[in-house]
Amino acid sequence: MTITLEGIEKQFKDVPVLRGIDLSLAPGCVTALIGASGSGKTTLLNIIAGLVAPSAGRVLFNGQDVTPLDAADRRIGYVFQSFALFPHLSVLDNVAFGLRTRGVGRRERHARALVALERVRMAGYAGRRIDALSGGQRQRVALARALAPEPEILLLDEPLSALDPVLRDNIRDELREMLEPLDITTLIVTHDKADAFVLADRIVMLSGGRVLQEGTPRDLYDRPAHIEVASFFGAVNMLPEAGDGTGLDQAPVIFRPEDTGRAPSAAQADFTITIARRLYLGDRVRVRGLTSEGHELSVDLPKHTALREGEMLHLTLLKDGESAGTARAAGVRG
Amino acid sequence: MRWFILAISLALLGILGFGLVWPLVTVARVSIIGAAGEITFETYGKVFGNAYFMRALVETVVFCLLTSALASFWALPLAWRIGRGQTGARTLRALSQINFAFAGIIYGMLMIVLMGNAGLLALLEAWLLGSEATRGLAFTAFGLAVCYLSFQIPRSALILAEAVAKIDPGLLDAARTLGGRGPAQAWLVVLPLLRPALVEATVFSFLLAMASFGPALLIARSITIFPALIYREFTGFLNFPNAAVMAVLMLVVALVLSALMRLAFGRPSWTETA
Repeated sequence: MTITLEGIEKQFKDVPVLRGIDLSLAPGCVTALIGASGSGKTTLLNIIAGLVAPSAGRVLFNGQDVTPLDAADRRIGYVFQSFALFPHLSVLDNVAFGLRTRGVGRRERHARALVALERVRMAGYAGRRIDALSGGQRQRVALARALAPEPEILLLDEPLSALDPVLRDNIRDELREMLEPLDITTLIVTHDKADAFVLADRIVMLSGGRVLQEGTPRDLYDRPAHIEVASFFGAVNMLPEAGDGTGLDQAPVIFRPEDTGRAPSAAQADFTITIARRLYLGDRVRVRGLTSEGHELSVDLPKHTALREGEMLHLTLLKDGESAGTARAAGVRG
Repeated sequence: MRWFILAISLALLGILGFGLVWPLVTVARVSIIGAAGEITFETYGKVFGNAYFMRALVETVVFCLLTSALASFWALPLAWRIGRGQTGARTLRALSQINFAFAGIIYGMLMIVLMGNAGLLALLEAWLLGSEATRGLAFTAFGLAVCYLSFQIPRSALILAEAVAKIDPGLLDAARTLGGRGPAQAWLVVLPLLRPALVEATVFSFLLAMASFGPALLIARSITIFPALIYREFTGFLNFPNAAVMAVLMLVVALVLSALMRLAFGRPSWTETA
């Protein structure tokens, strides 16, 4: 099912939260809605779900305007950040809830709920109480509950944020495996770039209630259209384009610390820095230094690289891709 | 600090001992001491054998159970508004708390003013319709029930409001996204989650009603309310053994029924009630 948003705006007590959002989410595509806290991503998700009414604009499912419909009538699956599992019901009855409200008989809804639980590898927990489950198990039950009524749209609000970091990595991979075969339009709200990269086919970045950029994970990481997008996804260096002379606001060259390597000689270097600081990051070292023009740069090097503060470091851009050159071509806005 | 806690704990123990345990022991002792000072259960036999007393006890228990259960459910909309902090919640909470300042007998007086022989309702009816069907309504079982409900509902609402405030709003949103409209949300989510609080409010209301005799003294004509009967035995007939036995009986019945209600309905369920 295609989700189309036309001019969505939302104000809470005259405070604008969303400002003219236009988006189209393709059928079967997993999209991550990413942004910092307060960027309006959960509000947008709730507007799509029908839990919150927009102040202006329309929500369309397959071209049909569903803006006036309540959440109960939109046939969506929603996984809440807190999971919002019903504590008075067993795991099976939680998963069967959406079938019960739609009048499916007890035997059939339990059979279908069991199938949904099998899909998330939780069938053995059907009779358990919710408070007897771990965070990861609750997350899976919440997903099974959202999927049991066979929705055509799946919405997930920070599905991994309630989990501890180690569990989060494992569940993220599992979630990707579970979402892949579903082939339903999925929108995931997250503030974690790793969630967005692993789970999503496309990423939409929101900031201040506006869409900053939309594209594939590689688009947003390697070809950011906005400095805020570039810095959201990790450390970034900015240099004025050589010979440009117009300053950073015009067309800076941006590249990430991992996009550099040591040049064999000063003659082959794209730039040289004087090392000011060396940070140990476990799998690599991050070196911070100043160019002769006084621009501060950060570069990542293999962790066994022997370097001292005050030493000159000749660097070259690793032009595998597309990062620096394309960023310049895209015209990054500051 | 430790000495202070010890001191107030001892003071509390003293208050409990002299203010509750000692009177209870005394009443229990009086109930089993015969005229010659011997231990006997003769008075129990007399009270159990008195059809009037037994009928009054049963009627009182049934009346209190019904009004308590009704009050708890009727209090739900009020509790919801207070618990969710909706418009007027603070005013409604304050109005509900005023209830605690009223003695039961004041409620009886209010009922007489409203539904007595010359009450507002009767005067309005006479003026508007020329009839007098509502004259003396306060002295019927209906009037007594309205009187009990008027102090049971606000108190139940305050208990329920605490439970309502604890319901995660995300659960109601989850029910909505799963196709649950208002009635389904209420039946499948809200009421099961409030069940322990509903039972607690009903038990509290029941105990409150069982102990209340002020309104009964003033307006109970069609139902004999047991605490009013105890009061009459104690102060009217000076029959201390009878009053003591009836007091013990009422206490035991109230406590046993409260425990049974909590046991039967007080636990949150986690299996479907299809």
